[in-house]
Amino acid sequence: MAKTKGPKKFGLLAEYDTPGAIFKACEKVRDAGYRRWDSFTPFPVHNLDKAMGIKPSVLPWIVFACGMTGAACGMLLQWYTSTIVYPIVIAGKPLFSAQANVPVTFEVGILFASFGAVFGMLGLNKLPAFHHPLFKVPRFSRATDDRFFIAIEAIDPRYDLEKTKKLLEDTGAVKVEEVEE
Amino acid sequence: MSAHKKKVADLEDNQITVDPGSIWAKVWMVGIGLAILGFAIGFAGPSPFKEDDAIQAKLWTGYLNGFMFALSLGLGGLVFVIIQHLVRANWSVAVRRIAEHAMFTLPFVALGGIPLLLGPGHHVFEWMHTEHVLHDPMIKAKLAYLNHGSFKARFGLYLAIWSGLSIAFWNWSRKQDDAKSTEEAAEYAYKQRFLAPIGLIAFALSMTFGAFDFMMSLDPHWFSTMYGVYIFAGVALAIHSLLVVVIHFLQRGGMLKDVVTAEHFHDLGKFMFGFTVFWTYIGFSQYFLIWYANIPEETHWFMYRAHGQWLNLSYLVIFGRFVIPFFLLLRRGWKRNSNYLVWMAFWIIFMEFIDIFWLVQPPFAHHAASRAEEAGAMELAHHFHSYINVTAADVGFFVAFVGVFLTVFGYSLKSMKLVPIQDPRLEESLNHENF
Repeated sequence: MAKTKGPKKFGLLAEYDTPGAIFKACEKVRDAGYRRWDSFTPFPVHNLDKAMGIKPSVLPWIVFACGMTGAACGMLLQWYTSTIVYPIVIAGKPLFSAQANVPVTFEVGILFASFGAVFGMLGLNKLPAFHHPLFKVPRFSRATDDRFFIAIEAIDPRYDLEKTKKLLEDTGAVKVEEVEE
Repeated sequence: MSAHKKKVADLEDNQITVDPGSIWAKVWMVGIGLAILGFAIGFAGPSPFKEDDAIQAKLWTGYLNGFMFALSLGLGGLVFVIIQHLVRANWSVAVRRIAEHAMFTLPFVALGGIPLLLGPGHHVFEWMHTEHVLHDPMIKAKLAYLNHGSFKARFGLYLAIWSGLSIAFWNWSRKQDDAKSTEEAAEYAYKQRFLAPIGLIAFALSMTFGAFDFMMSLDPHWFSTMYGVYIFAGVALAIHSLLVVVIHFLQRGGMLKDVVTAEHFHDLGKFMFGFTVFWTYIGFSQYFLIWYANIPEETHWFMYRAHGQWLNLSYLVIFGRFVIPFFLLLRRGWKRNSNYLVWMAFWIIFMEFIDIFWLVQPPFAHHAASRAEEAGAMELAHHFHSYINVTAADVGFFVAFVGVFLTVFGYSLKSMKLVPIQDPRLEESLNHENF
């Protein structure tokens, strides 16, 4: 692939006018073997993730690990404070008992799991991002209204300006254009 | 947007009806066999005890145990159907008919409570012994509620509510299948939706007070305002698990294949998981407050469940009802695969029986131990305190009430289609998808 001169390219943006069209287009892009690409729709299109061939997210594992860590930390915190640093007998109960510590253990577990979910999601999506090249394209604002888009990034190993453009045009795109970085 | 949209009219007949030659059409006969066998073992089986008092008390405790287990499946069916109509659920229409079969067992299984209202009740309910109660200021204070006459009256009310609601929903659903027009079918859907909120309130009250009367009153000194909710959590777990088990095996038999999908199993699995956490929340809250307050009249209920083998049983309840299902129902893929989910469903139904065993059997052992202590037989008292006695009666009545349940369930199953074919929302349910 010959390097083109001028500004760095982000990739190709294809526009579709129905959910059915983008669904079939996604299947074709998936089958062509592209990896660094995404689709944009104004509303959730059922099973589009399958059409795009997206693998299950690792986020649940992050949440699970965070939740378990949180529960362990919550229990440890209570054990440490109530038996090592402030050993005070309250209501004749033992200094440390599993029962009394369940609510806080549970709460800290939930707190950490929620942190894992929110920050894990942001991290996996590479957010917050202050700018995205696609926002330069005026037509792209219709992705929140009535148009459907597929963007294939230039860093995809299979990306080739002519071939990729042809592929997108063959999928029935209304318009295909190159986007600058 | 899936590749094709399923239509109700395209459903093949062999998918939504039970083949008269298959084992499913004979479930009711199996049920009758189990019921006869179970009652024979229960009433005539050997007992390890010598005193007639202990033999009878143990026998009727086993009876109550089996009765409450079968009743909880029926109550689960009723509350499932009520809630689906109440919230106009779309997803559940394809699985609702199975819950309606479970619901229909209620009027029949509930009749099993009648012997406990009469003479045999004396063997399990301490408060029925008037001469005993008059010397006990704590039970005496509860006499206005806990007496034979009002127990009978309340049971009559429960029976009326449960039977009335079950038969009404069952009949309307059945008539809807034969509706001549879509307007007529919609009419039956409206009727069921209208009854749902009234039914839910009646169900909540009758189930709560029924649980108080039949199980909490086994230890009349003790009370917990969370008891009804605790029982409800078990009931809800049992019905969602029962639906998974029945539908999984119906699909193995070649039915409902394109009707109930991974999406429905996913939702049922989510409810199994959710109610597992709910049960834990309720069960722990009940325990935690009693543990913290440390008032003897409340703690003694847990004390006799924390000795010897009873303590092991308590651990089984904690691990079997919370720890195991919690971790094994977490993953999305595990909830969507019915080959896996059906094992969890079996386990949860088994644990529902164990939970009721844990609620019903320890008071018997506690009373037997107290009586032995009064008579000076310390060794026998120690035996009752520390060991769980599982007798032929426990097994027999479990089998018997499962048999009664299966008889009615199987009859209802073979007499109707497997899905409410004319329900206006069936098509949405067929095409239901989780995000």
